[in-house]
Amino acid sequence: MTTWLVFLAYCYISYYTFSYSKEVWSEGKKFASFCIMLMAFSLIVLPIAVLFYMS
Amino acid sequence: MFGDSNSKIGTRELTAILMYLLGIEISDATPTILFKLGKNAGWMLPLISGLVAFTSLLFLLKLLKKFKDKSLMDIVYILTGKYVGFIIGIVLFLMLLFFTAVNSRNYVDIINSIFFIKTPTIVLYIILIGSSLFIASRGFEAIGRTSYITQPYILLVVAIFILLLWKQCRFEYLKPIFGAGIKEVIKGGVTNSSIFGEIILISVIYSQVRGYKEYRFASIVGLGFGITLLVLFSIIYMAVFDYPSAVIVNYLFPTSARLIFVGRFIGNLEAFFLVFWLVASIIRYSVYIYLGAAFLSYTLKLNNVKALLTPYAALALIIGILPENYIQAVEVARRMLLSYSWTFIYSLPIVLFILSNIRKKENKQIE
Repeated sequence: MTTWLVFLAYCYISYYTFSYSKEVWSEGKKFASFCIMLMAFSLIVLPIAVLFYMS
Repeated sequence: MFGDSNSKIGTRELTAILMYLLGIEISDATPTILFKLGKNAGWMLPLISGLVAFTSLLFLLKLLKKFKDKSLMDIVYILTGKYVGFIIGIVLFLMLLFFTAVNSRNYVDIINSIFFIKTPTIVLYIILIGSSLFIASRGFEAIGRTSYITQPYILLVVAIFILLLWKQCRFEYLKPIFGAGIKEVIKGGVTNSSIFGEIILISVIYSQVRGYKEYRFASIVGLGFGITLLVLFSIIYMAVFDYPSAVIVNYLFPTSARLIFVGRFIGNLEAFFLVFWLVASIIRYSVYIYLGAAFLSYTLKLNNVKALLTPYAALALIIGILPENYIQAVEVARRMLLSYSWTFIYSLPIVLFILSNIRKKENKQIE
């Protein structure tokens, strides 16, 4: 139960980070936006690996 | 997720922040690492480390004075260009991210194995990082004020702790004075000098401090306080536990708190110290979270630090939960980080100072 709640929280944070990266993209800072997208992606991949496979 | 605040902090707030950042290391695994390297002379290592940190700090202060309102990342970009500047910024960001993850895991392990044995690690971790994120989300000024308000109480508790533990001290345990040998002490002190690395990293928020004089005073006093407290507590731990017990006991602060005896009617005093220790830890990690987000934000040339606070904290938490136990987190990750990061952190201000002087000469030649 805790694991799934944590994972859901991470999904929301990842979504929030991705929407911020879109905001940065619209400002014309494409490289910065790409870096933040990478961060959003790792916020989904890392919890899946840590919470479901490594614990 | 959070709104913006542009207020600046003064000497008192920055001094309090640095006291928390550097002083609280007495309660984590830092003294254990020092004793492993220097044995009975583990208390001398912070003096050597402090000297290395102070030398680098002097170069940094010169740079900050020269570039006036510019913070560390601005200076890096001006002097090294956009490509090298970006690489330096990302390396510093990753370093801080791993510092946050490994150090916070250290604190969660202490809470988990001594105070809340039945609570899952991840729950304690979420509470610690969540509380720190809340303070960080109020802005750097809020962190500064929280540090300043709570500082006298924490200092009072530290003084009470030392007074109560004084009876347990046997200062003959400090002999042989040079422990593992002068060479080992100097080597250990230098290679682990990044225990005070925050003194350099905090300059990323220089633009949020009122002025150069305030920053200079606060950083020197903060570093001095951090060194003094770590030396003092290392002496106390060694005088209480002796070598090799001081190396075997992983949680020196809570274990020594358990040794305090003030009478039959007042028991479990470690719970009293736990409250203040937790407050100090939460403030420390709020600074870490803010600094990490600031590094990323300034490296990517964005002005919104607060938008990156939550992703940074979440990333630190998930990396911190990775090590399966305390030994992996502290023995491997933390010792490796301490051993390798010092060269980069402390050489950066020196390299930047040399670059700024070369630029100055080139500009004069052009004129």
